[in-house]
Amino acid sequence: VTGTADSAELPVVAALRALSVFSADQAGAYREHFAAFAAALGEDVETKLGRFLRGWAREGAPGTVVLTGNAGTGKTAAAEAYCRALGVPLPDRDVLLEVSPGRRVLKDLSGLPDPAARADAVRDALASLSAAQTLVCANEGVLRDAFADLEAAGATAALEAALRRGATREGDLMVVNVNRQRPTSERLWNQLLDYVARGELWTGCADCPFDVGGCPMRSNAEQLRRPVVREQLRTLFRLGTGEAVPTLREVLAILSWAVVGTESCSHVKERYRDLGLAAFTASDGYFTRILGGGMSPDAAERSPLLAGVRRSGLGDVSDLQVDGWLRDTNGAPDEVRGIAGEPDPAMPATDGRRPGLAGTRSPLDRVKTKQHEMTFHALGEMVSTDEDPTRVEDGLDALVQGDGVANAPAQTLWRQRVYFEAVNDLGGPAAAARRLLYYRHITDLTELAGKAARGADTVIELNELVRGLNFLVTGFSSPSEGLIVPDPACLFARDPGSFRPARPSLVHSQVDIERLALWVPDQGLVRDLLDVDHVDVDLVVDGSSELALRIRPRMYEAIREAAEFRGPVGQGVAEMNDLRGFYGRLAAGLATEDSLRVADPDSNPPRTGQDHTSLLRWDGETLMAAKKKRQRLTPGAIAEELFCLDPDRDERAPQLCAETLLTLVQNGYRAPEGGTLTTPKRQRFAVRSLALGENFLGGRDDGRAGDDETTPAEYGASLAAGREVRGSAHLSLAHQTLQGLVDPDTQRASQPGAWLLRPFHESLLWYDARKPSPNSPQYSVRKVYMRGSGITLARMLADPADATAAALGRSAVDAIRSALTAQSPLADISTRLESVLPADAAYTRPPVLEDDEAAAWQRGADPRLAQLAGQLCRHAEGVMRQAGASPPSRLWQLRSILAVDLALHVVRTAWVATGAPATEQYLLLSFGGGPRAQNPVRQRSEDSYRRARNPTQRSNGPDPRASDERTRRKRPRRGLAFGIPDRKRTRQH
Amino acid sequence: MSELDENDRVVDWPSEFQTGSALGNTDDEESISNQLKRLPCPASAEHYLHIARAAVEAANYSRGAEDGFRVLLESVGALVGTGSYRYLTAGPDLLAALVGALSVQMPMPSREFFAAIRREWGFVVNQESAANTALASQVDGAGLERNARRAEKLMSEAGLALGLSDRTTMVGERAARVGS
Repeated sequence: VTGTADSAELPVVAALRALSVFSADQAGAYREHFAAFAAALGEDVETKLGRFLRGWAREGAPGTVVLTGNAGTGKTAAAEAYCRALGVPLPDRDVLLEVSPGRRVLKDLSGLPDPAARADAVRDALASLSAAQTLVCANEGVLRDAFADLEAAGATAALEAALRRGATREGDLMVVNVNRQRPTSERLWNQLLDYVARGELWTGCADCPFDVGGCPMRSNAEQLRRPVVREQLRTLFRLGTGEAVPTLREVLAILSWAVVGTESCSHVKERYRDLGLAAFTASDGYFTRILGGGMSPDAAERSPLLAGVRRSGLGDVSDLQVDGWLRDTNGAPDEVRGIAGEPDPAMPATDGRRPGLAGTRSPLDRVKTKQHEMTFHALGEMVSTDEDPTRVEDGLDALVQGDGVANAPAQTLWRQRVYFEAVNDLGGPAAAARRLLYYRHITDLTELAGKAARGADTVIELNELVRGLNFLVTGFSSPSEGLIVPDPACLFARDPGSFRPARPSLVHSQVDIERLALWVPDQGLVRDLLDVDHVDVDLVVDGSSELALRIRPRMYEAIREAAEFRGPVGQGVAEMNDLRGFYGRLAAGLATEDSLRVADPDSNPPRTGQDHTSLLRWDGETLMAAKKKRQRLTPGAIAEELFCLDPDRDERAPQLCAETLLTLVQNGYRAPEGGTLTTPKRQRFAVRSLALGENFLGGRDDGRAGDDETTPAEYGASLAAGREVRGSAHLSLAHQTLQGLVDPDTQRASQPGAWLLRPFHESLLWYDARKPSPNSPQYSVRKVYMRGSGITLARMLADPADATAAALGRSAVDAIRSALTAQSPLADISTRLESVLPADAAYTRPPVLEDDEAAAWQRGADPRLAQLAGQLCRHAEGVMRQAGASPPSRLWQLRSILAVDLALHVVRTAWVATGAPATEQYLLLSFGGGPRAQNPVRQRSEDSYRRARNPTQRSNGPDPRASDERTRRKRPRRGLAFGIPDRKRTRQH
Repeated sequence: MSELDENDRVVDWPSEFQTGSALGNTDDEESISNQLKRLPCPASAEHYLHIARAAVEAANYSRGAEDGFRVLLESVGALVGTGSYRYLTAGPDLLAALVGALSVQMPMPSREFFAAIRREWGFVVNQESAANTALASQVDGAGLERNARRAEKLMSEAGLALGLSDRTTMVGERAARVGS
């Protein structure tokens, strides 16, 4: 970092190289090394927070200010500014220190040795609120713990409020969440760019080749001083900061990389001496480095902010005109021709060609090709007009492929440079974003946020948002009905933004546009204390912050795309989870519609449906189960003995969950008093016919359903076809709505009798059904894929032996009941459809409990399953009592947890029974990565799965596949079910 | 077998095996049921172990449980691929369920989350979780860390985690219970 401007090395170059840190172990290093940087880069950037603290120090008003935030957000810098205002240095030690009379500073609460010392320091700071001035810097976790240890409810409330709103003041206590500081706020952004690129830092070293177009670093710095480039860069960083909590240190690291990369002045001069103008090209340009160009994929992956910036797609998004400018600059505007390196037309040509570097002004307009380095202009000309096919081929390679190592495709570099430097020719910043980024509406969002922050009229934008949201969640695109809140079950099944065609959705309620407002998250005190930048907006219902949807760039993009194109938007799961959470809260907080309404994607506007009733009844027969002699040495019996609860291979997650829930539902969500269980077998043949399009009442010709002329079989046929029945209206919409709720995993079975709906409401749960023979029309409920494990799990949840598990289980079951019995129009439909069937028929009367069902219930109390029961209760309680997920989401998660816990019970039992070493007892989860052959984690994951299925197989060497094949050839399979270790074969491995 | 022989005094061994199974074939002198019939009384544990091994060699005792384990994992998206190339993973839905199941402890840094799912379900994702397993000597630690970063990215994209600029990822802020 040392040196002077006329030395061989420019001081700023070394300083920026040192700042450009992307490794994991450098968090917070910036502040510690700052003194060295200051010598080269000058005074630190001045934040609003620093200014406030300086003023507070000078003013001397008593109180305590707590700064909380992640490492690198600028807490220590702010504390340093405070101390500077008092004329004292920042303390070295992490203790609450009196730096001047009545002024105390604790620069890092985490630096104290233990929780007790932290609690003491915080107690001390809070005790003298009106007697002294105290500044405490702390990250959120330790601060929360310290407040909890002190049982300081007021301080904890202040912290919670600050984390939500950015800053809060409770009397003389102020808490500031520095994570809300945005580097892209206008003033701070320009300061940051000045910090690395201002002209006085870049006057040039001795023999600098910049003036002849040979120094990429000074060319980069020169561009970053231009306001238009800064504004474009700000848009990219705004996108990035929408994805992560941005820190000043990280912003500076990326900017430093963009300017210097790994270069030094001496290296630049050496290369220029050896290679001339060919030494550096656009691959060294800021416009590609700002997106991680020249960096290893691993390093780029480590920076969340950089990852966010890269997701902008700059360089990947094509634009016909921009790409056309590269191929033929003749028709391009003057500015574009300039950045393409077009030579003076008067320059003479040799053999009809000009030199490839004729017209170059800096490394930023040069690209590398197999035909030597040349300007963008020369490359375009070579590709478009050259008669030598080899030259054309080489040009095309450079254009679309680059060299696959250090040089990006010229086309990508060109688009990136045009985005930054030809903004006016693209039609302005908004058009540039629309044409060259994946986030086509980012500037609209920042403008909207600005308007909302100023309190300006946003009615037009609000209508557009409502149009997009309505399309996303119901497939119905119109703002005229207000914000349509679908039934949470329909929304969960809808998978908003997916490529599935939208089905009709039941409407829970509608919110008039007048009840909606757009807010910005950073309001009030936080705007006075921190440099904020309005990038997000909150869509708020009835002025309640609880009923708000945070609209970030990706969400905004999805909404606008949906409004404009009325097609799938393919946005991420996070945004769709946000939507589900928002609508779930609305459904819970708003009154439901009195009438039954359906949002039909094919109609305009949503229609109102009717229902129907019946008075008919009839009789039927009972179902009985035959008893067989129990064979005790069959694989099933052995497995039952070993595992106690042994899942059948037909029991998949949907069936397991449905059987568990059905057992709970049928028994009033508790263990039956007196021990008489009610069977989980539930028919629901009427609603099932409507939902699955199959007549489950076929062959039921006795009695009447709904009126004096319709038999149950005819009634079922009408429902299956979605035709109206007596007193109904728009039944086909309900038919389509329910079809959208079918759990796709159950449709793997070809028999409709085994299809289930997703777990949403108790009225829509039913048991497996099948016909006695393919030719028989009559369905009856019986075991197909539900095999009794769900009954055992239900017992474990409702009635575990252990007291702790019982409390958790009760809580989980109560939450399950709340979720399954929440008010829903679907429940009304189901109840009314079923009510028209004869009450005492075989297909409506509850079947008799079978012995194996009773045995499955008893098994739930087996001491061998106590560990599973404890785990299951804890996990189910966690899932069902979590915040931020709608009831259908929780039930969907419960479906997964029941299956995973049961699967793990099996494998753990097998590990114990086979004496698998502790080092072998794991399941390796593999995420992404390259092709299998180059992905050792995936190969080991395959290995861990194979060993879980067959614990007697030991972990293999470097080639698991070869070893596994050998194992299969040499011996018969032996695995989970039979747990006697085979010593002889174990030795082989 | 030992329990049936000594406690229940079983005589009709073929009826204890699956109907039609070779293990209970009375015509075959070496069938398991005939071996059990010939056992001395009282027989040693070694005798039963020998016959049990022979039974397992001759019949597939593990298939039911193996398949039960497989389909449960498959149906929650934890097992993908086909045949011998099946491997374990977790999609957004399953990760959401794991986060939800641990909601009482949320939010937590990703390192702690990976340690928690190792403890609760035996799932290994990162280098730290692999420390006391055979993986420690089989897979490059950097590979496991890349695996963990991809898991973090997936969770961030699924709204289950938030990547912070100090290189940490906080998991489960949304699932965390109010006041916890």
